[in-house]
Order: sequence, then structure tokens, then C-alpha cells
Amino acid sequence: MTDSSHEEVIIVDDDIYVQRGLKRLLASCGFSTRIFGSAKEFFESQAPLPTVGCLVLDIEMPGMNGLELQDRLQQRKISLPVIFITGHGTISRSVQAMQRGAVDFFEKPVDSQVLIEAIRQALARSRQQHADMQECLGLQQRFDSLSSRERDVLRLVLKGLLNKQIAAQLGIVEQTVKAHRARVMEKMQANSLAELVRMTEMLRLAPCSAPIVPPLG
Amino acid sequence: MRCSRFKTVLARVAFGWMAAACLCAPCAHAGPAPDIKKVLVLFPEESFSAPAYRMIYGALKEVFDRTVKTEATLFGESLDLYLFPDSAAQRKLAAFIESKYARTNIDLLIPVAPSSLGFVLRLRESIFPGVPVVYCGEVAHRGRRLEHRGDVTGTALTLDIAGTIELARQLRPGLRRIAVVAGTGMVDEYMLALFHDAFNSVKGDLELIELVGLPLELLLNKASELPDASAILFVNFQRDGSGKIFSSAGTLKLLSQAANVPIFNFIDTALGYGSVGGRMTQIETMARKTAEIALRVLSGESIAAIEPVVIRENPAMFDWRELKRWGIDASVLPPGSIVRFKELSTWEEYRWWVIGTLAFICFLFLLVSVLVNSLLKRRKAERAAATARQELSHVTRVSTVGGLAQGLSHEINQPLMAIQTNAEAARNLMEAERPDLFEVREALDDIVVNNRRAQAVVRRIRQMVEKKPMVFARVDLNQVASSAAEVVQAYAGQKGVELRLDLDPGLSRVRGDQVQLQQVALNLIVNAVEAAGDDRAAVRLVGIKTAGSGDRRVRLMVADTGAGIAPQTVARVFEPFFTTKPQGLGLGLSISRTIAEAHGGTLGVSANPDGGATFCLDLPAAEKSGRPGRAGGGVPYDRQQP
Repeated sequence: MTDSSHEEVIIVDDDIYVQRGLKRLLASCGFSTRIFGSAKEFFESQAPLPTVGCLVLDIEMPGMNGLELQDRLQQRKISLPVIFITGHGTISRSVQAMQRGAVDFFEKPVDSQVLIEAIRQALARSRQQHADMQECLGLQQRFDSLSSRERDVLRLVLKGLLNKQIAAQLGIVEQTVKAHRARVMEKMQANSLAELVRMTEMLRLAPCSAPIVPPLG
Repeated sequence: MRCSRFKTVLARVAFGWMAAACLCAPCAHAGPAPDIKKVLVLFPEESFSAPAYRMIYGALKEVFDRTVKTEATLFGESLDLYLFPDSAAQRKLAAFIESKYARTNIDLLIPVAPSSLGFVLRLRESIFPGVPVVYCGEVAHRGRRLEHRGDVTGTALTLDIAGTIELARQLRPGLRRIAVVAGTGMVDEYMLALFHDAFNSVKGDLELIELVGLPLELLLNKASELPDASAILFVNFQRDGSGKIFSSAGTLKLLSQAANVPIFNFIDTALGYGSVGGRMTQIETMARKTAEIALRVLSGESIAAIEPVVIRENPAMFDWRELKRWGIDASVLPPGSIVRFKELSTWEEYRWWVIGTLAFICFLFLLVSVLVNSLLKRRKAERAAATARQELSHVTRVSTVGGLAQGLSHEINQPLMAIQTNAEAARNLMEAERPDLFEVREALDDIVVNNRRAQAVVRRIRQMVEKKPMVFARVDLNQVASSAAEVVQAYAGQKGVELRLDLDPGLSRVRGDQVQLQQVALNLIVNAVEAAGDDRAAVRLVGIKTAGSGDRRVRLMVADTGAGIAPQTVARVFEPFFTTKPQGLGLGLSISRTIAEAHGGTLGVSANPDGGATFCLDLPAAEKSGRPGRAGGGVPYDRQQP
């Protein structure tokens, strides 16, 4: 098992026996779990959400149901993968859930192996999301460390201009352009121009101020 | 010679049959009012048993009484002419009558029989000078002139002796002899003479046996030993050979008992005393005619203008009993014969009673069988209806529970899920190098518990849809309500509806069928959940409340926070097939009400002040107070954990 000390499976189910069974099953497979009896309990919890994890939600619950809980998470930009389990699945409900980004939808009683596998995949996705976000945040940091002249040079390099043309545009000597360019490559920790292009592309596509929503898959 | 003797006898003749009738003259001393006519009827002899006189007097009186135009009173006297035939005695009698009626102005005299007429014609001028006479009972025959003067007229009859002999011949084929019976009295002899005349005219080869002038005893002896092919012709018998006075009717009766051959006669009033029959006189007709003439005279008509009337009818008349006795078939009687004294058989006499009674019995039987039949049909129909109701109620129950299937599958899947996860977990735990046996045990415990949970749900469903005959027992309505609530709970959860139970712990039990009452509760709660679960509803709540109500009644109320029932549909919600739901059968409430009524209760609905409706099931309590209910009051219903 990958290091799962920071990883957590969050279970929200109103049935105490289902809670306990899930917890026991997941524990026996090496997952750490956190249990809530209702959506209300989940939102009122003061404990921070894990950086890597997933949610296993019961749909039928008194008060706020699983789908409503999912909506609320999205509103709060919490992107932990969600697996639904339901006492009686209906096509409309499962479609509804998947459209909102659930990774899986199961009917009770779900086959344990299938559930465990789904949880593993969800955790892997969460881990990937986490890694992507970490990378994104690093790039932003590097980008932020560039001086304004270096950012100008970077912008013109990305436009595909030659050093001579950049010097002409900025009204500086070609030698100075070379020096700025070398410092940009160093600060951004890019080994080639191609790598630098990829990095800036990533920054432009995904502003790192918000968690990256992974494409559905 | 013979003819002149006839004449003298004729003047005094009387019918031996006409023995004295009721002679009681109505209160002679008092005297009727002067405008009422007074009529004196004179009978020739005193013989109260003589049927002829009774008949004559009765007929006269009847006609007089019936007539309103002329009012008349009848007086009667008996002249005893046969007992006291000498003229001295008759003069004394005349003097007596004169003094008796000295102060009574008699308006009309009716002498009965020829002898009375003779007496009147002889002595009238001294006793009742100028009083007109209407005689009754003269005998008309060839060569006899009937009395008719300025103040005398009357009626006569004919004797058809020849016809009677012919009749005897007709009825007794092979008849060879006629035995004639007559007494030695004056009238006997007169009539015997008439018989001889008649016999000679019709005798043919008939032999004549004369049983005349014999003492009674000898007569009877002889009559019992008559040869075959004989018949007796009874003429008259007032006095026997030894001089004893008899009544003809009595003699005829004795003769009939003794005789070994049938007896014929010709005086109608003697019929019934033992003769087979004959061509009969019509004495009653004659008496009526006499009365009519008397009334005409009393009303002032001139007697001179009223010719004497002769009754010439002599119809063949028979005594049915005698016909039977002598084996004479009714078919040989001449057409138009009158048969008297017909003894009706039980069947003939009581035919209509018997038919009526039988008809009545048949009618009763029919009525009873119709009633029994309709009762049986009704029973059968009732049984069929009960079965149909049960079937329908079952179908509705199944359909209701079917509607809850999603919720119920959740109810079952929940423990199954717990079982599954715990089992897998236990297996995983056992695969570890050092298995955590405590945790394994916990998992197994949970499996057992959840297995029970699933069983309970299944049991509950089965109980709801179970098809079994109605069983009346003591039922706890609280249990009914909470059990139904349990079944609906999951469904309510889906709809986001909260069930709130408020059960009276001291609720009396009711008498009823647990399954059916549960069906009612289930139906009400499901309906309420559906109403409260309406998307438009802000508050989604269903209250389920039990309480005692009034005098030994128990109530289950189910209130919802839904939109309520539109006033125009309130009246129809209990109608079969009325529904507002797209998938509803529309039978739930109608069956619920039927069930309520079968339990002697009611099911009604009312609107809540703040929206929604409350359905109220009202049932008679089986006892004063029950055991404490399972659930307390006002506690929000929560899913019961096993």
C-alpha cells in the first residue's frame, strides 16, 4: 500500500451497522477511515479534510441526502472523489450523481472487492490531483520569483522571437537578453526551451489559486 | 155413486200432510192498530209436526211480511176437524171462534185444505159475515169445479199419481207390482180413490197389492215381505185399521225402515221421510200464490175478478239417500229432475276448504322456499362478497406494500450491506499473520444482528401482504400504528418526510383483525407521506396519534402537512377508484373505510387549520383500559434499532 498515513476514506451513512461494517472492511484492507452519521455531522466537523482521500456517501439519509452533500462540496470547491452507495439505485439518480462528478455509483449490498478497488482508484486519483496541484503551486512560486525584465524576456521568448529581435524590442543589447534568458531558465528550473513552454502553458491553463478539477475519466 | 161420494168427501177433504202449523196467533187480546189488516188462517187439524202446514204458514207469513204496501197480521186457528168430525162439535168450535174474535175485525179468511174451506163456507155467515175468503190447497182434478164467487177465490194444486206410477216403472225396470199404502181416515180414503183412478189409467200389466186399512204393525210386516219387482206407492196414512190416529210423515218413516222395496209418493212435503220420490206437488208455490191473492184482495181488488189459481207443476223430485239405498243411478232419472238431501262426501262438502287449505299450504311452502332460496342466495352472495372484499383488500395491501418496495428494499439492503462488509472484513482480518480476534468477533456479532434485522423486515412485509381469513382478536392499536410506521419509514425517508408518533400509553385494545387494521394504518400513513412529501411543502411532517375518544371508543389519527384535500373532492376520497395519484388504484381509502365499518367503526377526514388533512379511524374499544402503549407521547419516531 502506498503511504496512506495522510490518506483517509470518509464514510457518510446514517446506518450504524453499515458504518461499522465499512470501517471494519476498509481497516482490514489498510485504509484509514473517518465516519459521519449524516451530512450535517460531516459539515459541522472541525477536523480538516485530508489532502488525499475520497468520500463514500449513502444517498438515502434523513435530512440532507448524499447528492445534496455532493453539491455542497462542489460549492466549497472540495474536489475529493466521491463514491455513492445506495440502498436502491435508480438510473436517474446514478446519472445525476455521475454528471456531478462522482467516480462510482454502487447499489447496496456492494461487492467488497469492487468497492475496495473503486476506493483505491479514487485515492489514486486524489493523489494525482494532489501531485498536480503541488507541481502547479511550485511553478507559480518560480514564476513569481522572476523580475519584471525577466518576465518580459520570457514573454517574448515564448512568442518565438530571436535574442536579437528581443533586444531590439526592449531597447537593450543582445548580450543582456542572453543573460536574462539564462536566469529565467535557471529560476524556472527548465532544461530546455520546450520544457519552459510546457511549464508556462500549465500555469496559463490552470490558475493555481484554486484546486485543479481533474478531467472526468 | 162413487162420483157423488167423492163430492161429499171433497168438501171436507184436507191434506193429511197438512197437519197443524204454528198456530200461535199474535196477541189476540191486544189487537193490532186499526189500519193493519187482520187475516185469519184456518187449519183443518192440529198437528204441529205436519210439514205441509208449517210450510204453508211460513210461506204466507214471509210474503205478508215482505209486502210493505199492505200491512197485515196473521192469526191462526186449528179446526180439529178429524178429531171432532161431528157437526155439534164444529158448531161449538164456531161459537168459540166467534166469541174469541168478537172484538177483532177480521178482514180476510184463509182456509187451508178442502175440509177447512167446507167449514168456512158452512159457518162463515154466522161468525164472520161478509169477510172475503181466499182458500189454499184445494185439489184440482178432472171434473172438479173450483169454488169462485163474489167473495171466495183461492188456489189449488194437482196430484200426479199416474205420473208417479210411470216414474216408478221407469226407475225400476221390470217392475211388476205396485203395493199401495193408505190409511182408513177420511182423507186417506179420498186420496186412495184418486190413486185407483190413476192406477187404472196406467196399470198395463202391473199387479196391484193393496196394503190398505191394515193395523200399522201388520202393514209394516207385510211391507217387509213384498215380492220382487215391487214398489210401494204411499198415498196417505192418518188412521190405521185399528182406528189409531197417525201422522203420515211418521208412518212413512216407519214404513220406509221396514219395507224391502222402494217407496214412491207424490206430496212434496213428505219427501225426505223415506220415499224415493215421485211427481211432486208444489205446496210452497201454492202458498205464496195464495198470499199474493190475499194481498190483492186486502188492497181492495175485487175477488170476482180473481180467478182461482191452479198450480199445475208436478216435477219429478227424489231423495238422494233413497236413490242410493235402492241402487238407482242418477242417469236414469228424467231430465229436469230435482234431487234433494244429497249427502255430500267429505270431498264434496269440504272441497273448497280442502282446496283452499292445500293452496294456502302450497303458497306457504312456495313462499318459504322462495324465502329460503333467496336467503341462501343472499348468504352465498354475502360469502362471495366477503371473499371478494378480502381478495380486494389483499390486492390493495399488496399494491400498497408494492408501492413501498423501494423503501423496503433499502430496509433490507442496509443490513445485507452490513453483513457483506463485516464478513469480508472478518475474512481479511483472519488472513493477517496475527489476526485481531476481538475485531473478528465484533464483525461476526454485527453479522448476526444484521441478519436478524433483515429477517424482521421480511417478516413485517410478509405479515402485511399475508392472505389469511379475518381473525377477530384483541388488537393493540398502538402496535398497529407503530408497525405500519416502521414499514413506511424508509419510504418517508426518501420523500424527506418525518414521521412523528404520539401514542397514548393507556390506550384500550380494540377487537379486530390485526392485518386489516394494519392495512388501514399503512394506507393512511402512506397517503399522508405522499401528501406531505409534495415538493411544494415547506414542512414535511406526518403525525400519527392514538387516543381514547369518548365513550369506549379508540381513535387513530394521521395528520399530514400536505396541500390538503380540495373541498370538491373531500366527498369523493372514499369512493372506489377515485384517486389523485397517477399510479393509484383508488381503492385504498375505500377499502379502509369498508374495513373500519366491518369493525363497527368509522373512517373520516377533516382539514387541518394550517393546511393538510387529518384522517381519523374511530373504533369501539374492547375494554375499559389497555396495557401501556409501546411508544411514549411526543417522541419523534426514529428507526428502531434491534
